[in-house]
Amino acid sequence: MTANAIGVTGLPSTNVPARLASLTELTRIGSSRTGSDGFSPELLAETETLLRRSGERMRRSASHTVVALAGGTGSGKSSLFNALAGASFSPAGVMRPTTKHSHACVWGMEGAAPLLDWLSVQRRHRYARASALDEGETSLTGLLLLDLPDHDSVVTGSVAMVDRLVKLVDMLVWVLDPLKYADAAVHRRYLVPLAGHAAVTMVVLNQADTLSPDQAADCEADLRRLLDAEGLTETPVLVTSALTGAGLDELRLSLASAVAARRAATDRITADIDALVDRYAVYSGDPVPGWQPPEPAAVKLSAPPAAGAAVAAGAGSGPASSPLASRPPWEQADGGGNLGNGVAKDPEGALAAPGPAWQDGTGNGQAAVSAEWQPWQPTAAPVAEVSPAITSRPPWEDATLDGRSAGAPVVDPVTYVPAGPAGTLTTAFAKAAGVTAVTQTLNGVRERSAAGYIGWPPARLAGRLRGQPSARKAAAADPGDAAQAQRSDIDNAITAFADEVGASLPEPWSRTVREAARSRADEAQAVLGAAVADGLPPRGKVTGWWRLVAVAQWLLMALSLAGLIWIVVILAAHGGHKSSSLISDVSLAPWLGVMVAALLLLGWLIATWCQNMVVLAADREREQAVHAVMTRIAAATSDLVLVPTGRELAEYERFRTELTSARRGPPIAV
Amino acid sequence: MRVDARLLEAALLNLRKRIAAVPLVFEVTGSAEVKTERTKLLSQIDDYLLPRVRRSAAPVLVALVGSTGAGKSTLVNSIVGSHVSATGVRRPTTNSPVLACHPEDVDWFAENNFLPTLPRVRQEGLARPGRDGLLVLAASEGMPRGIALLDTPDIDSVVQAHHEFAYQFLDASDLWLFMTSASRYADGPVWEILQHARDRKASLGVVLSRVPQAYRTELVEHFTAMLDANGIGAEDRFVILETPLVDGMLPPDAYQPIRDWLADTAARADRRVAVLTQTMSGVLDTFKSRVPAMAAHVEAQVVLRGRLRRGAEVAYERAFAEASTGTKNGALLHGEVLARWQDCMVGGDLRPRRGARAATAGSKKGKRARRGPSRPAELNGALRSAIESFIVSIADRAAEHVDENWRGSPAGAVLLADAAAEQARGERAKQVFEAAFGPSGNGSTPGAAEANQATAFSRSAPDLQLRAARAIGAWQEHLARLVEVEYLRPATKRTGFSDEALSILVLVAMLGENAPAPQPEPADAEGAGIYTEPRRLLTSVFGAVTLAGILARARADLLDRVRLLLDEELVRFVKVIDEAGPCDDAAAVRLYQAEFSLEAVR
Repeated sequence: MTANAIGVTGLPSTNVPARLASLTELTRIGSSRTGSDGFSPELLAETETLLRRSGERMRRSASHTVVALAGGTGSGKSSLFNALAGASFSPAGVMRPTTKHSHACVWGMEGAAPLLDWLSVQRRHRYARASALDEGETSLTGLLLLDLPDHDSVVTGSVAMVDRLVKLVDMLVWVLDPLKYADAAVHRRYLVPLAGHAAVTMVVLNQADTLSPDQAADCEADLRRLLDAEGLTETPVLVTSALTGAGLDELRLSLASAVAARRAATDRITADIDALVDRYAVYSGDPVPGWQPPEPAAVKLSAPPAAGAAVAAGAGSGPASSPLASRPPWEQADGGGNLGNGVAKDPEGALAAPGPAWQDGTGNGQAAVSAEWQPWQPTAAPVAEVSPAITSRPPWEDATLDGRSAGAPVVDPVTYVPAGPAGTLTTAFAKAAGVTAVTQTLNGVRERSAAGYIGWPPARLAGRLRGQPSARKAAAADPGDAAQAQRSDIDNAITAFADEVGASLPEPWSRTVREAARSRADEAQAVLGAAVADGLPPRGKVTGWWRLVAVAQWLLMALSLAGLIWIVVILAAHGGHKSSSLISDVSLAPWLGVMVAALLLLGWLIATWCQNMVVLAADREREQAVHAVMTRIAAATSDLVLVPTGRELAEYERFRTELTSARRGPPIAV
Repeated sequence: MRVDARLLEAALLNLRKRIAAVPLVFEVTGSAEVKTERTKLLSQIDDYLLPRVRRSAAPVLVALVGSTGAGKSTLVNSIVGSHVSATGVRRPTTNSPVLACHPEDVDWFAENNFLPTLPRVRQEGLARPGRDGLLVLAASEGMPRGIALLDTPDIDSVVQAHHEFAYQFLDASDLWLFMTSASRYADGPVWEILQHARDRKASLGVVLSRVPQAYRTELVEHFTAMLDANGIGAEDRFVILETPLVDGMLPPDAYQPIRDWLADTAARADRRVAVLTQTMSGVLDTFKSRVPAMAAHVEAQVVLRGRLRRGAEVAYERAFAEASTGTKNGALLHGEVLARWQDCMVGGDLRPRRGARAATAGSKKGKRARRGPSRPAELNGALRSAIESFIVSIADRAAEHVDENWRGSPAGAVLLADAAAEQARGERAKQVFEAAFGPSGNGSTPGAAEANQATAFSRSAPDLQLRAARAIGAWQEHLARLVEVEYLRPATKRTGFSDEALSILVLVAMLGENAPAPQPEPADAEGAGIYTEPRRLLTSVFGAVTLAGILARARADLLDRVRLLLDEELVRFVKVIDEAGPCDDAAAVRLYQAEFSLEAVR
C-alpha cells in the first residue's frame, strides 16, 4: 500500500518519524542523568518541546505550508503581506510599531482552521483567498501566509509572540530594508541561531524603491556577504518593493514552489532536529574502550522502548503484532492499522494524511494513528478513549528498568564491560577477600591436621614438650571462616575499575558509570566473604588413609617399644635362670636393637613419605579450592559490579546509537 | 557647585586604585557582569572623569550616537561643511569613529589624556574608510571653537564592537546628541540607549531624522510622547525632514539649528558649565550605587572562597574521623588479615616459646620456611597493606567529595577546570623542555610525580600509595621500638614472646580495640578470636594499664601520620584556591571607603 492510496501525493520520503523516535529515546536516557555535569535540563526541555510541537504540527494539515513574514519595524512586512494577498488586510502605516497582532491569509481554506487555532491567530485576523476562483493563484493553494508583528520594537508582547511563532511556522521569510538590513536585532536573535534552517528561510530586501539600481545591487551584495558569513549560504535573497511591485512575482513564484513541494513542514522539523541533536553530541564520545558491539545484538538494542507500548496498541487492533516485534514502533503501529482500515504503510504517508484518515476512521484506525505518534506525543488526545493505559504514561515508563522493552530479548549487560578491567577487578576482589591467604592457610591446616595422624610419634612428642599446641586440637580450634572481605580494598578496586572503564567517556557518563559500579559496593564485603567460605572445602576433613597410617605408626611404635622392653628384659635376665632362650640369649639383643632402630626408621620414613603425600594432596586440594573460590568471586563480581556497570555502558552505547540515528535517521527501507 | 579639582582628582585616583584592585577571582553568578562593570567604571574614570577634572578648559566633547542609517555621518559632514566622515548605503557605514573639531582644539584630543587606550590618527584630506578601532581626528575650520563632534559607529548593527565603542564614547563625552530616524524610532536599542542616558543624567539632545514631510506632525507627536513616557527630559529636540541630499550634504536649514545649538553651548560660559556639571555629576551619582554593588560582589567572592575552602576542609576532617574510627573498630581485621591471623594462631607462631626469645624468630624451620616468608611476616604484610589501602580509600573518597562539592558551584567547577588545564600546560612545557634539553637529572622524578597529578582532582594524589606505605613503615618501626622499650621494663613478665610477635599483637589489638561485640567464640579456652586474643595475650605480658598506654600511644602516633598524609592531600585543593588569585577580605571595605571619600569632596 502506498501513500497514493489515501490521496496524498508528491510527498518526499523522509525519516523524520524515526529521528523523532530516536530523539525521544535520547531524552529518556538524558532525563535520568541530569545534574551539575549531566544533561542540561534546558536541552531536555527544548527537546520535549520540539517533540510535542512536531507532533502537533504533523497532526494538523499537511497540505498547508505556513509561511511567516518576519522582520523589524518599518521594513514593510505588512505592505508586502497586503501586496501578496492582493488586498489591504494588515494595516500599514508610518507610526511605529504598526502591526501588533499576527495576521493570516490562507489560500485554500479547508483543513486550515485547526492549524490557525494552533498558531493562535485570532479569528478577526484570518483572511481567506478563494483560490480556485482567483486567476493565476491556483499555484499558491495551500499557502498560509502569516504577517508577524515586528521583533525589535519596544512593545514587549510582540517579541514573545514572534519568538513563539518563529518556532512554529514551516517557513520564514525575513523582510529587511536597506536601512536596517544589518541590524543586530534580526541577525543575532534569529538569523544566526536559525542558520541550520537555511532550507526553510528566505530573505527579502524590501523597499528597493528607495535606492537607485546601483545602490540596490550594492546593498544586496553586502547583505549576501553578511548572510554568507553567518552560514546562511543556501538562503536565497530577493529584492522587492511592495510599493512598486518589483520582485513580487519572483517572491510569489518561490512561495508557490515551496507550497507545491509540500515539504517545508518536514524540512522545518528536520532543521529543528539537526539543531538540537548537535547539542547532544557533547554527551557522546568514543565507544566504551575495548568493547566491540556484538553484531546480532545491535539490532535488538536499537528497538526503542516504546515498542512495548506499540505492541500493546497493535495487539488491540490486530493479531499481527508479534511477528513485527523486530520492527520500529511506528511500523508496528502501522501494521496494526493496516489490518484495521488500511492506513498507509510508510510513516510519512500516515503523518501527511489529512484529517479524515483518522477523524472518520474506525476505532482501530484511531489506535493505529495515535500509537504512531505515541513515542513523541504522550498526550495524544484521540488515544485516551481507546487505550488509556498507554497515554497515561510516558513511553519510557513502559520500558523495563534497564531501558529495554519488556518483550525484547535481553542482552547480557556484562558483555558491555571490557574484559581487561573486569579481569583486574576480579583479581582485586580476590585480594580483598584474601583468597591467596585463605587457600595458603588451608594448605597449612591440612598438613598440620594430617601430622596429627601420620606424624612420627617421637617428633610429635618432642613438639609437645617444646610447648607447641597439639596439632589436632589446634585444627579443631580453628574457626575456619574469613567472614568478610576488606572494605577499603573493595572500594579502591571499584574506583580503579570505574576510572579505567569510564574515564574516557564524556561528562555525565563517567560519573554515572562510577555510580553504577558502586551501587552495590555495600553488599560486596559480605558477599565476597560468603563466596570464599562457600568455595572452601571443610577444614576438619580427615582422609581415610590417614587413620590407617596412624594405626600403622602406632603399631610400629608399639613394636619398637616391645623390642626395647625385650632388650631390657634380656639384659635384666642375663645371667639369671635360663627359663627361656628368648629372654636369656644375649646374642639376641643386638639383633633386637637393630630391629627397633629399623622400626623407628621405618616410622620416620613412613611419616616423611606420607607428609609428602599430604603436601601433594593439599596442593591439589588448594588448587581446586582456589578454582572454586575464584569462580564464586567472579560470579559475585559480575553480580555486584559488572552487571550494573554493564547496564550503564549499554545505556551509553544505546545513547550513541540513538544519537547516530537521530542525526541521520536509519536508512529508509525501499 | 564649587569643587576643589585637586581633591576630587585625588579621590577619583583613590577610587580607581581600589576598583582596579578588586579581586574578581571566582565565577559567581553575575561575576561576568561585574567584570564588565569594572572595565566600564575604570574607563569612565580614565576616559572621562580624570581628563575632565584635570583640564576643565578642554573643548566640550559631543558624542553623536544613534541608529545605523539615521544619517549621523551626513549630519557631521553638513555641520563641518566637508566630507570628514564616509557615507553610503552599506550598513553599518561608519567603522571607525571620526572626531571633528576646530584646528585650534585638535591638540586637546591628539594627546593621550582623552580616551588614553584608543589609538588615533589625524585625518589628512577627505574621508577614507578607516581601520576599525582607530580614532580619526578631523580638524576643520567649519567647526565652531570650543566644541568637538564625535561621529560614532552605530548602536544596533551586527558588528558587536560598534556597540561597545558607542558606549565607551558616550561614557567619555560631555554632551550626547542622539539621532534616530522616522523608520526606527520605536526600535529596542534606541530606547536602551536613551534609558542609559536618562540613568546617567547626561546632558542630551535628540534628533529625529528622515521624517517624511507629510507625516511630520503625527510622527513628532508620537516620538515626543514616547520620550516623555520614558521619562527622557531632553529639552533639546530637533527634527530633520526627509530631503534630497545636495552633494551628500543636508540643506543648511535642516542642520543649522543643531549647529547653532552646538556653537551656543561652546560659546556661552553658563551653558557650558551647566552641561559639563550635569554630565559629570550624573556619572558620579551613578557611582553611589554602582560602587557599593561591586563591593557587595567582592564580599560575595570572599564568602565563596571561604565556602570552597571549608568544603575541602570538611571533607578531609571527615576522612580523618573515619580513619580514627576505622583503625579502632576492627573494620580492617577482615579478609587476608583474618586469614593470616588464623593461620598464625593455628601454627602457634604468636605464642610464647619456651626457650630464648631471641632464638625463636629465626628458628622456624620446616616446609613453610622454605616456601616463603614466615607466617608472622605474612600477617605483618597483610596488616600493612590493609592500613595502606584503607588510607588510600578514605583519601580518595575525600578528594571525590571535595571535587563533587566544588563542581556543585560554577566557581568551583571553573577553578578545577583551570587548575587541570594549568597542570596539563605545565606538563606539556616540561615535555618540550625535556625534549630539547634532555631529562633534567635528579629533578625529574618529583617532576614526573607532579605531572601525574594533572590527571584528576577527584582522586587522591597518585603518589599517595607510596607515601602511605612509607608512613606506615616508619610507624611500624616506631611501634617495634615502643614495644621493645616497654618489654625491657622490669615490671614486664618475660614470657618468651618474640619482638615481632609482640608488635604484631599490639597492632592487631589496636585495630580491634573498639570492635563490636565479638561473634560467639568457640568455647575452647584457646579460642583464636582476633578481637580478644591479642588483648588477652598482651595483658598477660604487660598488664592491663601498661597495655592501654601502649595502645593509646601507638594509635596517637599512627593518627598523627595519617593526619599528615591527609593534610598533604588537602593542600592540593588549598593551592588551587590560592593560585586562583589573591582575595583580599578588606577590598570591599576599602571600596566603600573610597566611594565615601569621593562623595565627601564633591
